[in-house]
Amino acid sequence: MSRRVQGLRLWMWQRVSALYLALFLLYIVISILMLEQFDYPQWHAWISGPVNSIIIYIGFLMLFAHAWVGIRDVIMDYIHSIVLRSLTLMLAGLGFMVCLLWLSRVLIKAILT
Amino acid sequence: MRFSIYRYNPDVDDKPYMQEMVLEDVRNEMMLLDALLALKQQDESLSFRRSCQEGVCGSDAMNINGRNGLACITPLDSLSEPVKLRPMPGLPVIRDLIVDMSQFYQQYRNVKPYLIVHDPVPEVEHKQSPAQRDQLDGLYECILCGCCSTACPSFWWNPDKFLGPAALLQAWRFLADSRDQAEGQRLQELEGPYRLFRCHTIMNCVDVCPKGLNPTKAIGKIKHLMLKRSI
Repeated sequence: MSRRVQGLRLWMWQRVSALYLALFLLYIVISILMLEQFDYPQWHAWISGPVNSIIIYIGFLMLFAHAWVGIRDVIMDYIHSIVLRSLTLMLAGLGFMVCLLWLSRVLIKAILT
Repeated sequence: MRFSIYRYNPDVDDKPYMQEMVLEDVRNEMMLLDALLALKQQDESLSFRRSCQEGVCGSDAMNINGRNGLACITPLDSLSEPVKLRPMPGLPVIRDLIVDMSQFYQQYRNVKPYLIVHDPVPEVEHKQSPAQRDQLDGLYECILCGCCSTACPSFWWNPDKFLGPAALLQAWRFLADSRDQAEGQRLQELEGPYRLFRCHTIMNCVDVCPKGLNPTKAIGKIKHLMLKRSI
């Protein structure tokens, strides 16, 4: 990974994802408040809509990107041993990948059923 | 007035300790440095740096009741007792309140704190308009006392890799200078995960700067210039 990727680009991703997440949360709250009835069928119909499912999927991708930059910063600040740092970064990355796959499964299932 | 002062003489002491001292003769409008000089009369082994005694040289920076500041411009009556004096955090202690600033100065050197000009040297001085000169206000006043960098957690964790607020303020001072011609080179040298981007906008630097400067704002401006150039 080049030095540029590690510095400016990740810093920018953190800001872009924060902006998306702020708007995303606002959209979610307003959408849920605007549901006629707050029950499972209503929620299911809302979440499985093509636009909403894409917005939610991107929202979670942004959440993972934001969390990744944050956790990477914490690890870089506090863990100085290269072996331990690589291990924790790998574990965090693996955790995010598992969450992402799980999220994909949930959303695909919601759309198909 | 009661004082609790960090003492450590590596030639004699196994580990640092806090020494309780009392100053009887406290006068109005006395600064902390005046009190330290009076305490040194009581115990002349007490060691600290000082020079100009008016907040210009930055020699007597120390941790005063948990907050970095200059002893010479800190009024005694603004401090609660016992006044706890420690060396600036995060730097190796040479003796008592004296720290080894080598790391701090090295980071300052790393930002090339001088004008880089590729054009032939003009016959007269490098001229600036008043508006261009105004860009340097709030930047050139830094006295390199080290209060900001040693109050910065990011500098504590990575003092060898993160430049620290003082050096970054100076990096922006030269990036903002209309006479400098090394913008690209300077920005390239600031790239990477450590040198600039370890700043997490904690803003301890702004809080403690005895000259009222704002390194966080300068760091933000560097990042935005970097972003502007990369798009």
